[in-house]
Amino acid sequence: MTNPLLKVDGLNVDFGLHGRTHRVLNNVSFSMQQNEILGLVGESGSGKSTTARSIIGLLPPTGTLSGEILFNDEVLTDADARTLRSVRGGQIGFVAQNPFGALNPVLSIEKQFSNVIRAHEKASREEIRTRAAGLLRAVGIVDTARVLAGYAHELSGGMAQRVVLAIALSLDPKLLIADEPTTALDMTVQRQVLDLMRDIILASGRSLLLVTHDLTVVATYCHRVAVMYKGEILEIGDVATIFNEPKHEYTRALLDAAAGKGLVSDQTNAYRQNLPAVEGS
Amino acid sequence: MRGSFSKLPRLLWRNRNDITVGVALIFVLALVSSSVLFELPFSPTKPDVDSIALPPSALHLFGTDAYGFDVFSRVLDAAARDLPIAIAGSLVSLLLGVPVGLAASGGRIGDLIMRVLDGFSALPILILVIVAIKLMGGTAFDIVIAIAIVNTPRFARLVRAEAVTLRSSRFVEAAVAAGSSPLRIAVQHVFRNSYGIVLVQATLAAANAIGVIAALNFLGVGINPPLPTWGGMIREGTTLLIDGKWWAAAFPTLAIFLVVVALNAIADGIEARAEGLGGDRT
Repeated sequence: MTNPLLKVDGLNVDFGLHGRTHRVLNNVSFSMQQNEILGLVGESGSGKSTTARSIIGLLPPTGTLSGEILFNDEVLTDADARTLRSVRGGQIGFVAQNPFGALNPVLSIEKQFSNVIRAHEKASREEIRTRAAGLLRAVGIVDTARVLAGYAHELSGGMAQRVVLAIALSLDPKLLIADEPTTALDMTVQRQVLDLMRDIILASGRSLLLVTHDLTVVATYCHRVAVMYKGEILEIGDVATIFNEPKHEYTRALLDAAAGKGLVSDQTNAYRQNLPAVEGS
Repeated sequence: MRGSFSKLPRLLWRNRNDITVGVALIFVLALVSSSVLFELPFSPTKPDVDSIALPPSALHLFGTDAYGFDVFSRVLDAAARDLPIAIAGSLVSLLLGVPVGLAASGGRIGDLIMRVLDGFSALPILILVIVAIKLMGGTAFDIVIAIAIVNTPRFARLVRAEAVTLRSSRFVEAAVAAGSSPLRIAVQHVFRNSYGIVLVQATLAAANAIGVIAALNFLGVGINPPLPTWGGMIREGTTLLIDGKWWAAAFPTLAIFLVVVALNAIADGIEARAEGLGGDRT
């Protein structure tokens, strides 16, 4: 077996607040292979977003990190700012939850492509325009000239998330991290965007780390899944295995809740009473 | 055509904001350029000893002052001196204050810069400036520097406040995730989202500078007589006020008043425009 594309080993994250520290991630370890889609599920505050953000160094300044993150055999956790910048965007793409938030309201879409591309390499305006148009076509946008000349507020939610995806792909990253990429979109558009994301990832041999709270999405799109609760990974494995034979009570509760029978199963109910919601979520 | 003509009032009203800005700009520009473009009725620097303290008339529109200067000519000549200094001072403080504010919006260095600026604001700036100008000699350049010293911290503070908010926005986070350098983020994402308020502040700073220049010249530091300045003219005019001869001080005061109102109108117009640019920042 080849070395994994991404290896997270014993990751701890603490947030300092009012002089006290709170452990947000506790000994999180997992790895991802090439051309794999890994789902990261859990309720709000379980640490799934923090895990995803730690990988590209997007922790808020109050957070401190220990443990090791290896990407392509490079240790990201002690890389200098320069190396980290070239990895971000260049080798790891990031798609955030709210596409309108992720796009700068006062810059044209073309300018935003140009900003991301020029952060990594020299390119002329014509090169950028051609590349951006190609990327937009790849995410299913036909009227590329109009979109490139336009601004974020002129786009629909689905279009905006396609644009964000295209921008994230503009430097051909090996890994894409998507933090609840479709939560802000309506149901039918969610499907389209996720289908598109999966097709692009699998066709190009990339990998996708998909953060979501939606088990249906996990079942439909992921190869493997990691279930998180209170800053720990409870279990990780093939989607089929985890869904059919959940080893952990929390996973079972989560699956039951998704199936709409959360109040029916006695076992689950018994577990629930001992299962406080995560504070501050 | 008659149909479209009847819509004219509504059209003008709907665009009153832009129109006000335009009118205000024309007024300011006209004041600056009039003494250069047209020949003034009398020399602004050569007094006529035979016509001292004359009230406004067809010959001397604004009257003459205690030395026999034509007030109208001097008000216009002073405009070509005061306004460019005010605008230059405002631009210099913009060029200094914006980078300082952007730099101060992040990290430990930022906190240090802001504490220095805080310490600065505890000093009686205007008095220091008066002393400094007196020592430097009081050329137009000295006054530009003085205005920049007064206004730079304001720009820095304003830009910093805006930048701190913008830096926590999602699109700055996305830019970091895409590997953008701090400089690129500062220019493309922070500055481009705050230049509206910077323009507003620049206009207000110019209005404020008009007042500062007038104050300096009124106090007798800065540009020396017989070169006319509005502040200097008001000072000279006050000697006539006691005798009820109001015109020598009133007309330069009116000029200051109108210019400040015009600059504020421009600032309001830009602000209304800039609000539309802000967009969704969540």
